[in-house]
Amino acid sequence: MNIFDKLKSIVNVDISKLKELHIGVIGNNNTSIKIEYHDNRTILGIDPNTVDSLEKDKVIQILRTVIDAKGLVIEEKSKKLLDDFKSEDKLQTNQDILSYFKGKLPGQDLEILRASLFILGEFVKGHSIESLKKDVRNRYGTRGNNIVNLYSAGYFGTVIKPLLEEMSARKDFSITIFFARYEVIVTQVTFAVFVNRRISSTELRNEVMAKIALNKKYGIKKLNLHGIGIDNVNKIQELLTSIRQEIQWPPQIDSEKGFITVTINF
Amino acid sequence: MYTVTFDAKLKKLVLEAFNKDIDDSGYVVEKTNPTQRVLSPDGEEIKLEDFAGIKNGSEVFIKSDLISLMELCDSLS
Repeated sequence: MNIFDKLKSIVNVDISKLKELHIGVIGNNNTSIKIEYHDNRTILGIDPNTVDSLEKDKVIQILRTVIDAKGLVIEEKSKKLLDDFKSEDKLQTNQDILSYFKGKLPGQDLEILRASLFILGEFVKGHSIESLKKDVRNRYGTRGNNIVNLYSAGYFGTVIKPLLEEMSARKDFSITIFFARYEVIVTQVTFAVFVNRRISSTELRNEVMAKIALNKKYGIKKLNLHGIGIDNVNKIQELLTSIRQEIQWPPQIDSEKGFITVTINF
Repeated sequence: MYTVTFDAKLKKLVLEAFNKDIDDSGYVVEKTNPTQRVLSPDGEEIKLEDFAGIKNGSEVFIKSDLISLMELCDSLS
Protein backbone atom coordinates (compact mmCIF):
# COMPACT_ATOMS: atom_id res chain seq x y z
CA MET A 1 0.00 0.00 0.00
CA ASN A 2 1.52 3.37 -0.94
CA ILE A 3 1.33 6.39 1.31
CA PHE A 4 -1.69 7.87 -0.47
CA ASP A 5 -3.63 4.66 0.03
CA LYS A 6 -2.57 4.57 3.68
CA LEU A 7 -3.71 8.16 4.21
CA LYS A 8 -6.99 7.46 2.48
CA SER A 9 -7.56 4.47 4.75
CA ILE A 10 -7.35 6.83 7.74
CA VAL A 11 -9.38 9.74 6.42
CA ASN A 12 -11.59 9.55 3.35
CA VAL A 13 -9.78 12.01 1.10
CA ASP A 14 -9.53 12.37 -2.65
CA ILE A 15 -6.17 10.75 -3.49
CA SER A 16 -5.80 12.87 -6.61
CA LYS A 17 -5.60 15.98 -4.43
CA LEU A 18 -3.13 14.57 -1.91
CA LYS A 19 -0.05 15.96 -3.60
CA GLU A 20 -0.06 18.57 -0.87
CA LEU A 21 -1.54 17.95 2.55
CA HIS A 22 -1.93 20.57 5.25
CA ILE A 23 -3.35 20.21 8.75
CA GLY A 24 -4.95 23.46 9.74
CA VAL A 25 -6.98 25.00 12.52
CA ILE A 26 -10.68 25.75 12.34
CA GLY A 27 -12.84 27.29 15.00
CA ASN A 28 -16.53 26.96 15.66
CA ASN A 29 -16.11 24.23 18.29
CA ASN A 30 -15.95 21.46 15.70
CA THR A 31 -15.44 17.98 17.08
CA SER A 32 -14.55 16.37 13.78
CA ILE A 33 -12.05 16.80 10.96
CA LYS A 34 -13.21 19.05 8.15
CA ILE A 35 -11.80 18.19 4.74
CA GLU A 36 -11.38 20.90 2.13
CA TYR A 37 -9.63 21.13 -1.22
CA HIS A 38 -7.98 24.31 -2.49
CA ASP A 39 -5.76 24.51 -5.56
CA ASN A 40 -4.82 20.84 -5.57
CA ARG A 41 -4.09 20.94 -1.84
CA THR A 42 -5.97 18.90 0.75
CA ILE A 43 -6.62 20.68 4.03
CA LEU A 44 -7.66 18.80 7.12
CA GLY A 45 -9.10 21.34 9.52
CA ILE A 46 -9.50 20.67 13.21
CA ASP A 47 -10.28 22.62 16.32
CA PRO A 48 -7.55 21.42 18.70
CA ASN A 49 -9.63 22.49 21.70
CA THR A 50 -12.82 20.61 20.85
CA VAL A 51 -11.87 17.83 18.43
CA ASP A 52 -13.03 14.49 19.79
CA SER A 53 -10.48 11.83 20.66
CA LEU A 54 -11.28 9.48 17.75
CA GLU A 55 -10.84 12.28 15.20
CA LYS A 56 -7.71 13.48 16.94
CA ASP A 57 -6.30 9.94 16.78
CA LYS A 58 -6.81 10.01 13.01
CA VAL A 59 -4.63 13.11 12.75
CA ILE A 60 -2.00 11.48 14.94
CA GLN A 61 -2.14 8.37 12.77
CA ILE A 62 -1.67 10.50 9.64
CA LEU A 63 1.39 12.20 11.10
CA ARG A 64 2.96 8.90 12.15
CA THR A 65 2.19 7.34 8.77
CA VAL A 66 4.02 10.15 7.00
CA ILE A 67 7.06 9.84 9.25
CA ASP A 68 7.08 6.05 9.02
CA ALA A 69 7.11 6.48 5.24
CA LYS A 70 10.24 8.63 5.67
CA GLY A 71 8.32 11.81 4.97
CA LEU A 72 8.49 15.27 6.51
CA VAL A 73 6.07 16.93 8.92
CA ILE A 74 6.78 20.64 9.04
CA GLU A 75 5.15 23.82 10.23
CA GLU A 76 3.81 25.92 7.38
CA LYS A 77 5.97 29.03 7.81
CA SER A 78 9.12 26.94 8.14
CA LYS A 79 8.19 25.10 4.95
CA LYS A 80 7.93 28.43 3.16
CA LEU A 81 11.31 29.53 4.47
CA LEU A 82 12.78 26.17 3.45
CA ASP A 83 11.35 26.49 -0.07
CA ASP A 84 12.46 30.12 -0.38
CA PHE A 85 15.97 29.16 0.69
CA LYS A 86 16.10 26.27 -1.80
CA SER A 87 15.07 28.57 -4.65
CA GLU A 88 17.59 31.26 -3.78
CA ASP A 89 20.38 28.75 -3.09
CA LYS A 90 19.93 27.20 -6.54
CA LEU A 91 20.43 30.46 -8.41
CA GLN A 92 23.47 30.20 -10.68
CA THR A 93 24.89 33.51 -9.46
CA ASN A 94 24.83 32.26 -5.87
CA GLN A 95 26.24 28.86 -6.79
CA ASP A 96 29.08 30.58 -8.65
CA ILE A 97 29.98 32.63 -5.56
CA LEU A 98 29.88 29.61 -3.30
CA SER A 99 31.94 27.55 -5.77
CA TYR A 100 34.57 30.26 -5.89
CA PHE A 101 34.94 30.47 -2.12
CA LYS A 102 34.70 26.72 -1.47
CA GLY A 103 37.93 25.61 0.16
CA LYS A 104 39.07 29.21 0.49
CA LEU A 105 37.28 30.21 3.68
CA PRO A 106 38.02 28.85 7.14
CA GLY A 107 35.73 26.73 9.27
CA GLN A 108 32.04 27.33 8.87
CA ASP A 109 32.38 30.62 7.04
CA LEU A 110 31.22 29.11 3.74
CA GLU A 111 27.92 28.14 5.39
CA ILE A 112 27.63 31.62 6.87
CA LEU A 113 28.29 33.06 3.41
CA ARG A 114 25.57 30.79 2.04
CA ALA A 115 23.13 32.17 4.61
CA SER A 116 24.31 35.70 3.76
CA LEU A 117 23.48 35.21 0.08
CA PHE A 118 19.96 34.20 1.01
CA ILE A 119 19.54 37.06 3.47
CA LEU A 120 20.60 39.64 0.90
CA GLY A 121 18.21 38.08 -1.61
CA GLU A 122 15.36 38.45 0.86
CA PHE A 123 16.35 42.05 1.59
CA VAL A 124 16.37 42.91 -2.11
CA LYS A 125 12.85 41.47 -2.39
CA GLY A 126 11.73 43.80 0.37
CA HIS A 127 11.27 41.09 3.00
CA SER A 128 12.17 41.61 6.62
CA ILE A 129 15.54 40.06 7.44
CA GLU A 130 15.91 40.83 11.13
CA SER A 131 14.91 37.37 12.33
CA LEU A 132 17.17 35.75 9.70
CA LYS A 133 20.14 37.83 10.85
CA LYS A 134 19.30 36.94 14.41
CA ASP A 135 19.30 33.24 13.47
CA VAL A 136 22.82 33.63 12.05
CA ARG A 137 23.96 35.54 15.13
CA ASN A 138 22.48 32.93 17.47
CA ARG A 139 24.32 30.10 15.73
CA TYR A 140 27.56 31.79 14.70
CA GLY A 141 27.84 34.76 17.06
CA THR A 142 29.43 38.08 16.18
CA ARG A 143 31.48 36.43 13.45
CA GLY A 144 28.30 35.35 11.68
CA ASN A 145 26.87 38.83 12.00
CA ASN A 146 30.04 40.36 10.60
CA ILE A 147 30.11 38.06 7.57
CA VAL A 148 26.46 38.82 6.79
CA ASN A 149 27.26 42.54 6.94
CA LEU A 150 30.44 42.15 4.88
CA TYR A 151 28.54 40.31 2.18
CA SER A 152 25.62 42.73 2.06
CA ALA A 153 28.04 45.65 1.78
CA GLY A 154 29.61 43.97 -1.24
CA TYR A 155 32.97 43.39 0.41
CA PHE A 156 33.26 39.75 -0.59
CA GLY A 157 33.40 40.92 -4.18
CA THR A 158 35.32 44.17 -3.75
CA VAL A 159 37.73 43.28 -0.94
CA ILE A 160 38.01 39.61 -0.02
CA LYS A 161 38.08 38.13 -3.50
CA PRO A 162 40.61 40.70 -4.83
CA LEU A 163 42.73 40.17 -1.74
CA LEU A 164 42.75 36.43 -2.32
CA GLU A 165 43.60 36.86 -5.98
CA GLU A 166 46.37 39.35 -5.21
CA MET A 167 47.87 37.08 -2.59
CA SER A 168 47.50 33.84 -4.51
CA ALA A 169 49.50 35.30 -7.40
CA ARG A 170 52.54 35.30 -5.16
CA LYS A 171 55.00 32.39 -5.30
CA ASP A 172 55.08 31.93 -1.53
CA PHE A 173 51.29 31.96 -1.16
CA SER A 174 49.61 29.63 1.30
CA ILE A 175 45.99 29.68 2.31
CA THR A 176 46.94 30.18 5.97
CA ILE A 177 48.58 33.50 5.06
CA PHE A 178 45.33 34.57 3.43
CA PHE A 179 43.34 33.34 6.44
CA ALA A 180 45.37 35.61 8.73
CA ARG A 181 44.43 38.70 6.74
CA TYR A 182 40.90 37.52 6.15
CA GLU A 183 40.54 37.05 9.90
CA VAL A 184 41.38 40.70 10.52
CA ILE A 185 38.73 41.79 8.02
CA VAL A 186 36.04 39.54 9.47
CA THR A 187 36.69 40.23 13.14
CA GLN A 188 37.32 43.96 12.77
CA VAL A 189 34.69 44.87 10.19
CA THR A 190 32.82 47.24 12.46
CA PHE A 191 35.94 49.33 12.84
CA ALA A 192 36.97 49.30 9.19
CA VAL A 193 37.01 51.44 6.10
CA PHE A 194 37.65 49.55 2.89
CA VAL A 195 39.42 51.65 0.31
CA ASN A 196 38.54 51.04 -3.32
CA ARG A 197 39.76 52.55 -6.57
CA ARG A 198 36.55 54.51 -7.12
CA ILE A 199 37.04 56.71 -4.07
CA SER A 200 39.10 59.87 -4.55
CA SER A 201 41.73 60.96 -2.03
CA THR A 202 39.49 63.81 -0.87
CA GLU A 203 36.46 61.55 -0.47
CA LEU A 204 38.58 59.04 1.42
CA ARG A 205 39.89 61.69 3.81
CA ASN A 206 36.37 62.97 4.44
CA GLU A 207 35.04 59.45 5.05
CA VAL A 208 37.86 58.55 7.42
CA MET A 209 37.57 61.80 9.39
CA ALA A 210 33.80 61.32 9.69
CA LYS A 211 34.34 57.75 10.87
CA ILE A 212 36.94 58.90 13.42
CA ALA A 213 34.53 61.52 14.76
CA LEU A 214 31.73 58.95 14.98
CA ASN A 215 33.92 56.39 16.71
CA LYS A 216 35.19 58.98 19.19
CA LYS A 217 31.62 59.97 20.02
CA TYR A 218 30.89 56.42 21.14
CA GLY A 219 34.15 55.77 22.91
CA ILE A 220 35.69 53.71 20.12
CA LYS A 221 39.31 54.64 19.83
CA LYS A 222 40.44 52.91 16.70
CA LEU A 223 39.79 52.48 13.01
CA ASN A 224 41.18 50.01 10.47
CA LEU A 225 41.86 50.83 6.85
CA HIS A 226 42.14 48.08 4.24
CA GLY A 227 43.44 48.55 0.73
CA ILE A 228 44.17 46.11 -2.08
CA GLY A 229 46.21 46.98 -5.14
CA ILE A 230 49.11 49.41 -5.48
CA ASP A 231 46.88 52.44 -6.12
CA ASN A 232 44.86 51.88 -2.97
CA VAL A 233 47.98 51.18 -0.93
CA ASN A 234 49.39 54.52 -2.10
CA LYS A 235 46.10 56.26 -1.42
CA ILE A 236 46.11 55.06 2.17
CA GLN A 237 49.73 56.05 2.68
CA GLU A 238 48.95 59.56 1.39
CA LEU A 239 45.93 59.71 3.65
CA LEU A 240 48.01 58.85 6.70
CA THR A 241 50.34 61.71 5.99
CA SER A 242 47.42 64.12 5.60
CA ILE A 243 45.77 63.14 8.90
CA ARG A 244 48.93 62.74 10.93
CA GLN A 245 47.96 65.50 13.35
CA GLU A 246 44.55 63.91 14.04
CA ILE A 247 45.76 60.49 15.16
CA GLN A 248 48.27 58.80 17.39
CA TRP A 249 51.52 58.46 15.54
CA PRO A 250 52.79 56.14 14.22
CA PRO A 251 49.81 54.00 13.21
CA GLN A 252 50.18 50.21 13.01
CA ILE A 253 50.84 49.30 9.41
CA ASP A 254 50.79 45.81 7.98
CA SER A 255 51.70 46.15 4.34
CA GLU A 256 53.03 44.07 1.50
CA LYS A 257 53.38 44.82 -2.16
CA GLY A 258 49.72 44.69 -3.17
CA PHE A 259 47.80 45.23 0.07
CA ILE A 260 47.78 47.16 3.29
CA THR A 261 46.00 47.11 6.62
CA VAL A 262 46.42 50.09 8.93
CA THR A 263 45.16 50.40 12.48
CA ILE A 264 44.71 54.01 13.52
CA ASN A 265 44.35 54.83 17.19
CA PHE A 266 43.04 58.16 18.43
CA MET B 1 9.54 12.50 -0.07
CA TYR B 2 6.04 13.20 1.14
CA THR B 3 5.56 16.38 3.13
CA VAL B 4 2.71 17.40 5.40
CA THR B 5 2.51 20.96 6.67
CA PHE B 6 0.71 22.04 9.79
CA ASP B 7 -0.53 25.23 11.39
CA ALA B 8 1.74 26.60 14.12
CA LYS B 9 -1.17 26.37 16.57
CA LEU B 10 -1.03 22.57 16.23
CA LYS B 11 2.55 22.18 17.43
CA LYS B 12 1.50 20.53 20.67
CA LEU B 13 -0.71 18.05 18.84
CA VAL B 14 2.15 17.16 16.49
CA LEU B 15 4.45 16.64 19.45
CA GLU B 16 1.81 14.55 21.21
CA ALA B 17 1.67 12.32 18.12
CA PHE B 18 5.31 11.43 18.75
CA ASN B 19 5.04 11.06 22.52
CA LYS B 20 6.52 14.39 23.35
CA ASP B 21 5.42 17.03 25.83
CA ILE B 22 6.45 20.49 26.96
CA ASP B 23 8.13 21.08 30.31
CA ASP B 24 7.56 24.05 32.60
CA SER B 25 10.37 25.99 30.92
CA GLY B 26 8.80 25.55 27.49
CA TYR B 27 11.17 22.87 26.20
CA VAL B 28 10.16 19.78 24.24
CA VAL B 29 10.59 16.66 26.40
CA GLU B 30 9.96 12.93 26.26
CA LYS B 31 6.48 12.18 27.56
CA THR B 32 7.69 9.01 29.28
CA ASN B 33 10.71 10.80 30.75
CA PRO B 34 9.97 14.49 31.21
CA THR B 35 13.46 15.21 32.49
CA GLN B 36 14.85 14.27 29.08
CA ARG B 37 14.75 17.23 26.75
CA VAL B 38 14.63 16.42 23.06
CA LEU B 39 17.68 17.49 21.07
CA SER B 40 17.91 18.92 17.57
CA PRO B 41 20.50 17.48 15.13
CA ASP B 42 23.01 20.09 16.30
CA GLY B 43 22.59 18.99 19.90
CA GLU B 44 20.44 21.88 21.08
CA GLU B 45 17.39 21.64 23.30
CA ILE B 46 14.26 22.81 21.54
CA LYS B 47 11.70 25.27 22.81
CA LEU B 48 8.12 24.93 21.63
CA GLU B 49 8.34 28.30 19.85
CA ASP B 50 11.41 27.09 17.90
CA PHE B 51 9.97 23.69 16.98
CA ALA B 52 9.45 23.41 13.24
CA GLY B 53 8.79 19.76 12.57
CA ILE B 54 9.96 16.17 12.34
CA LYS B 55 11.89 14.39 9.64
CA ASN B 56 11.70 10.91 8.17
CA GLY B 57 12.80 7.68 9.69
CA SER B 58 14.19 8.22 13.16
CA GLU B 59 12.95 11.08 15.21
CA VAL B 60 14.82 14.08 13.91
CA PHE B 61 13.35 17.19 15.45
CA ILE B 62 13.80 20.32 13.38
CA LYS B 63 14.13 23.87 14.63
CA SER B 64 12.67 26.82 12.78
CA ASP B 65 15.78 29.02 12.50
CA LEU B 66 17.41 29.67 9.11
CA ILE B 67 20.55 27.62 9.81
CA SER B 68 18.55 24.55 10.93
CA LEU B 69 16.42 24.79 7.80
CA MET B 70 19.54 25.10 5.63
CA GLU B 71 20.82 21.89 7.23
CA LEU B 72 17.44 20.26 6.61
CA CYS B 73 17.63 21.36 2.97
CA ASP B 74 21.03 19.63 2.62
CA SER B 75 19.84 16.46 4.33
CA LEU B 76 16.88 16.24 1.95
CA SER B 77 19.05 16.65 -1.18
